[in-house]
Amino acid sequence: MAKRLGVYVCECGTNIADKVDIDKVLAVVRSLKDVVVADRYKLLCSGDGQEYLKQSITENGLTHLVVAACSPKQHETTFMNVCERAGLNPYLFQLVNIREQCAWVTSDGEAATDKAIRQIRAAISRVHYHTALEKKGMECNPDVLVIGGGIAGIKASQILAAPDRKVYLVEKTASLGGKTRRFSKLFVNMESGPALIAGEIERLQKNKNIEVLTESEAEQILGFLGNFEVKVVSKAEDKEAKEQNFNVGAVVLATGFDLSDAKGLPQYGYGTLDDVYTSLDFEEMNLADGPTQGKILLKNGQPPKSAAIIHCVGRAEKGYCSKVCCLYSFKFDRMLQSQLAGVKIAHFYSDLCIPGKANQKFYEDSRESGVEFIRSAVTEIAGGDKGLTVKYESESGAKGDLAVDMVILLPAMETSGDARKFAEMLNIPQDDKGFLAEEHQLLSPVASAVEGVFVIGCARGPQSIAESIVQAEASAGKILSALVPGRKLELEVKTSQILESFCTGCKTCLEVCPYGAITFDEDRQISVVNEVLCHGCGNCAAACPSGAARLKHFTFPQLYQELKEVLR
Amino acid sequence: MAPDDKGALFPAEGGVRERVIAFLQKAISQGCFDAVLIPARAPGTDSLTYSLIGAEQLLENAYPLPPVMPVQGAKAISSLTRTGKGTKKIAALIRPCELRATVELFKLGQVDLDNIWLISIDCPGALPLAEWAKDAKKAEDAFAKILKEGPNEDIRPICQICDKFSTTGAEDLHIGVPAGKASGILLIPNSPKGEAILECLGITAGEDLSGWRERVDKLTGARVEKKRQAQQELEAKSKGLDKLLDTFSQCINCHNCMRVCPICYCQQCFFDSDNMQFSFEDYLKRAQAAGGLRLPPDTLLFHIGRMLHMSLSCVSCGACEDACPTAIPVAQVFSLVGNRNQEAFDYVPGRSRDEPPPLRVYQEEEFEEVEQSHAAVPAKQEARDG
Amino acid sequence: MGEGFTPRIVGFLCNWCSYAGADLAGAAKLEIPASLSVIRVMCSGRVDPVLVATALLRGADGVLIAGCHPGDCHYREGNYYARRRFALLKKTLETLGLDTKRLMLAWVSASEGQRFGEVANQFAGQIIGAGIAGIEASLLLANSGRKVYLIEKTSYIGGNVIKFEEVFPNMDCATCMIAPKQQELLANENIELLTLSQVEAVSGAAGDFSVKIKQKARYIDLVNCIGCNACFDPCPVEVDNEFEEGLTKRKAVYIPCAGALPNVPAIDTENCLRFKGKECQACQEACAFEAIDFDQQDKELELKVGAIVVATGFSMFDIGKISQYGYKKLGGVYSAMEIERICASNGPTQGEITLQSGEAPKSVAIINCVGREEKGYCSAVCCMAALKLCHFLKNKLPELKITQFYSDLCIPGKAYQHFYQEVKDSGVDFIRAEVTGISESGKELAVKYKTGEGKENSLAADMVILNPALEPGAESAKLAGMLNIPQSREGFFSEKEPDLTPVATAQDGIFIAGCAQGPKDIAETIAEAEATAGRILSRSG
Repeated sequence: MAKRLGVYVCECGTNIADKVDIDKVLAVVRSLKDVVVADRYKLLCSGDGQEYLKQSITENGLTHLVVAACSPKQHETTFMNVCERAGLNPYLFQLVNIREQCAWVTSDGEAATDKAIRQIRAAISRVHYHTALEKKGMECNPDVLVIGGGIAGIKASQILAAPDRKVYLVEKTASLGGKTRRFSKLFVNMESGPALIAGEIERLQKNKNIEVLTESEAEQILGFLGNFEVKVVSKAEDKEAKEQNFNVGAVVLATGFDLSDAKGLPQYGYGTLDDVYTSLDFEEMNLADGPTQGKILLKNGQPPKSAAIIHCVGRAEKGYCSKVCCLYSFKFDRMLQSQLAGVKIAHFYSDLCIPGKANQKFYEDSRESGVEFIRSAVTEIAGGDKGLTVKYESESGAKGDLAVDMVILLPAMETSGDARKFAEMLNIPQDDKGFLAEEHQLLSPVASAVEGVFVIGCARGPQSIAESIVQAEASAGKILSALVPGRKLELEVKTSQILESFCTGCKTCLEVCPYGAITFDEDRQISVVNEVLCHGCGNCAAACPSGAARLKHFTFPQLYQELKEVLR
Repeated sequence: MAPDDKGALFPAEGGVRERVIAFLQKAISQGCFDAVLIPARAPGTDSLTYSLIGAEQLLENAYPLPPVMPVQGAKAISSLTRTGKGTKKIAALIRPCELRATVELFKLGQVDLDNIWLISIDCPGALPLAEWAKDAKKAEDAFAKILKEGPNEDIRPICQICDKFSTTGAEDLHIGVPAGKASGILLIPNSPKGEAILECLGITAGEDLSGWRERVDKLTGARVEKKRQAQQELEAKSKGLDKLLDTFSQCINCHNCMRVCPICYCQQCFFDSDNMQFSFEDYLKRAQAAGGLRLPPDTLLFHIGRMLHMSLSCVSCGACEDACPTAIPVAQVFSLVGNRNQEAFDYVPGRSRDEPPPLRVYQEEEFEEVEQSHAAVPAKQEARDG
Repeated sequence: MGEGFTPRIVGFLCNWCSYAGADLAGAAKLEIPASLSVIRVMCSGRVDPVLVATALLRGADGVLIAGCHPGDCHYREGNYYARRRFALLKKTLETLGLDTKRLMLAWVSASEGQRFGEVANQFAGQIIGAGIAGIEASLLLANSGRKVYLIEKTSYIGGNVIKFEEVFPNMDCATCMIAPKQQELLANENIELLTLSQVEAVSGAAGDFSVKIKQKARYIDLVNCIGCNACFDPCPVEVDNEFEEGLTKRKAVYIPCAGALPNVPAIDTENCLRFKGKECQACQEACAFEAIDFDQQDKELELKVGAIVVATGFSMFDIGKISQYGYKKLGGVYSAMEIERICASNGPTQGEITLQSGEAPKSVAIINCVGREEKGYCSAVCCMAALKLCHFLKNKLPELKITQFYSDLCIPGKAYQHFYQEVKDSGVDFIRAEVTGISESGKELAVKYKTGEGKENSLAADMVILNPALEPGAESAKLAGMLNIPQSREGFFSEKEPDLTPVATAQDGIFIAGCAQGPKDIAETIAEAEATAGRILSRSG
């Protein structure tokens, strides 16, 4: 079919017309091959201008359109919509920037006109090589898999579940609630952890849209946003393993945290001296169903008269601050004080980390109740027949020691061991501390680098329950916005393709794709682009030596056409 | 080259070729591998080709270390596993540059090495292919002298500056050739697969390699210096657009260099594809603008483009120069560019099966000297260095 | 090449950063060599070396490749590979003796119009040569199919984030980072952006709120105005520019800074002569698009919505209240926000760090926790912001001596301690002390401080930067009353259950996010914005 190009130059009021000799431009353009109409117009982006263009496309039977005006970042979409309204595929169009990058930056009118001609010729040559591209949509599954039944996973499940959106909540152990269930009190307002969890579990059981799978683990997750295939294996004690396969559209990882091993730091005496506890040990002690039925007792069965709380255990080794320990240490103050009248408490810390509107008061209340705060580094916890001694050194170098009955260590928080398994399974990068990495530390804190997989709670870094809940809700926000039941996922149009006959299977493209959008087909021994995941950056096209990988709308011939014209 | 590596002496008589063949025959008879991929000479002819030999007695025709390099060994090996790996064990007996090219192809997904044992051998160089074509007997005699006395001025220019003619480290087994009259060959394993061969043969790696090492190191040193000088001379002759055009002025665009290059693995070369086909008008305009246009055009673009695509993996094997019908020193130019580029990326092609090709990876901070960035060198670097 | 030689230079510019930077150079009417022709690609990673070689062999006198700064690539890593490919190309050409001065790889961000101009001119010469929480919540809701009304008090979007040149911990360029989101917002048909608007009254309940909005007239027609800025010059009125912390002036018809979106000015009726009863239509006369319309009226709108998200951001503690710090009295004493603007490449000094004398400072003291005691809480982000300033200043002025005064280092989470360590290793001093006063001492300033042991001391510095507490936005109390949601003791909007429902309020259907809820960093703000969307879109009980 013969090509019929239309070229329009916008005067942009005086912004372009004052500098560029538009008639000269038109004279050149009209002489070019396949250009059937070329004209000027005062303001093409105006309502009248758009109507003018639309009519012109129809009346002239244009097969391609070139508009020379402002930056594509201003009005590319506007004119693409005009094409669509006129029945012309919007990708058979090119917008030339002769305003911001020509008329506005070139004081000499002749030079500006020459440049405009050059860039318009480039667009005309290029547009010859454009192919019609269609918008693509993909059916997607709105259901969600949540891995980890702690507070973050529970909250995510509740907010996501709906009659047309099923949530599978998979928990490795026999009970939901994670660590929160074993905190007798939660800071700042000292709510009961077990009661909170019990309430949540009741709500979950009533929710018909959430399938809870305890004593279960996801063994395989394959696929991509909108279309994951999941295999879950459930193994209750003494029972046979049961396998379940289902599809979901998104995956939320909420695998939680573990405390780093205090035994690895022998100076603190954990595991060797009596009455040195970690924070989790202390939490257990305070639970009614704990080892001491909720009573704070020493190994000898007596209540302690004094306690030392050691902050930042393992911080130097791990290289980060675990964010919540200062706050829960003040919670410990209240728990100790409410049970043991007159107990003497001393905190050993380096920097208090109490950000946020409510937390400084929480600290001040502790201090005002007589708790001592000693800014120092603890060098050793020593044992003896009289109990424990905390040996410390202040910032100025002065040494001191304090005799106490009980020591509570606040070890650094790490991501739980399961995180690594899922990181590998789903190809999510872990940072050098082992935490699962977010897509963008600032702009996308709950999404991961893998589209459709979200990471919330302590799996991605040490944080409080409140923050974990925010992230659970945030992941819901992202998922509910993207995966709407009945609505197709809109995909990037200008994606990359790999021509089978050219591909030798060297996998260079696969290695450089920032989105993992390229997979290797073992049967055909070629690389294949998943157009759902492709964002159209073109890295693969640049990396492929044979030109098998081609980025639609930015192919080598298209770019070459522009190149050859601007260099004439 | 680890100073405490060990080798085994495989006792055998005769010239280098005879000793190697004896080793291979023993290995096949012991079942160490099922077949050997090795250059062979069809009896009574001058035909030298890589052959897959399964029968022990046919090994008599094997011609390890042929006087020339007719087909780059890496190409031969990769053609074996084109449709997938086999179930039989194959040993490939190749020159070190062919080994390095094979390792590069492995990293580029073009060869499956699971059931292939890579065996390299100390290489004295090769003669120009044209000499073999002109007078095979003369060439054979010239090479026999080289095998006995060591490399001389007859070997190809690219071989004369080769500093990687011995073990690389990425092979399974390397055959070291002891000096002068020796009673065997040194078998130096460099991987568990290589060690398995020694086990299979029932010999232990207890031989002292220091004498051989010394000789190799000495020659390597001399070659490094020779390469530096030769590259300097080449730069003087070819550096700059005019001299470059001159160097390639005789190019007839046959693309032979690309075809024989082991690293050029593309199904269809980019420069033969539709991407490089331009319209009649385009050619005419170019001719008008420049006064005239060679057809087919873009000769220099082909060479520079090929350099951009493969120079980081160029192993300086010289197959390209052998194949050029107009005697352009293409291997020397490509080897020069390859060396410089590889230095810039701290990459040596073929030295490791795990080292990723440089364009597949990146560091967040690197090559600051090529980018225009508004941040000055961070102060912390000075604090650490100073 | 003879007389009248016009070099032919090709620039491959990436769509997200450098192309936008080039557009910005246009908006600023900088002079860019006409010999530079631009080819737009989506990412600098698309530019393959063979294409560049082709350009050179086809007669290009120069090829420029421009992309986002490393770490800011819109496609995450494209520019890292672009850099490697460029290094390969450069080395190849160098070895072959071809002119590598014809090649340039430059990083230009979307806000660096000036820099694009410099790069383009340098290269050619070489040859012969609307804030962030609201935006995020709106986008998520709009993309799910909801209609969103985004009410913004000022004339621009982006809030406080667009005032920062770089943000911690990765020193991302703030404007580049949010530019794609801002553009998405402006282009999204489901989002109706109402600038210069404020809430007057709210009634109803979740699912059926009635919100009365007063929208001040902009006096500029949003459709006709093309953002050419021709109306500024003729305006006779000059006032302090609030966006620039009063460091520069603006006209009565103005945009707050280069690159602010939407790129349409507003008329400040408090200072415009015409609106004070005088005769003046200088701006209207200068406008070629009939975009200035003095007859526009303030509007009263009534919106019916199902949910409300409050994302009114923060303002800074008034440092003037602590008179012993000499703020606004002594030369060389700056607030952190003033320094942020001074650091900004689109700011009053285009990113040049100078004292009032015009010289660069040799020593700087940064005082943290200004106003902490008065406010009674830790503002969560200031320690990191101060570290960011150290990093930035050290890069700009490597010889600069920096001392930080602080009480407790607040650097929580997996990523921040590493940043602190880097800054510390670069030679910044940290002194744990209470700063008791700042006074003049000859040509310098003297920072008087008291350490924990009670020792008193003094430090000399050319420049002092005061890092104040974050407070809730100025209109919070009024808004809290209208919405009937309680405020905390500190003035921030209160959550329903502090530990368990951080973004929900006592009123069903009304949510809070970002610094309106409490001081926090960008990542937490975005998470809260996304959480409000999650709650709104959820159809659970």
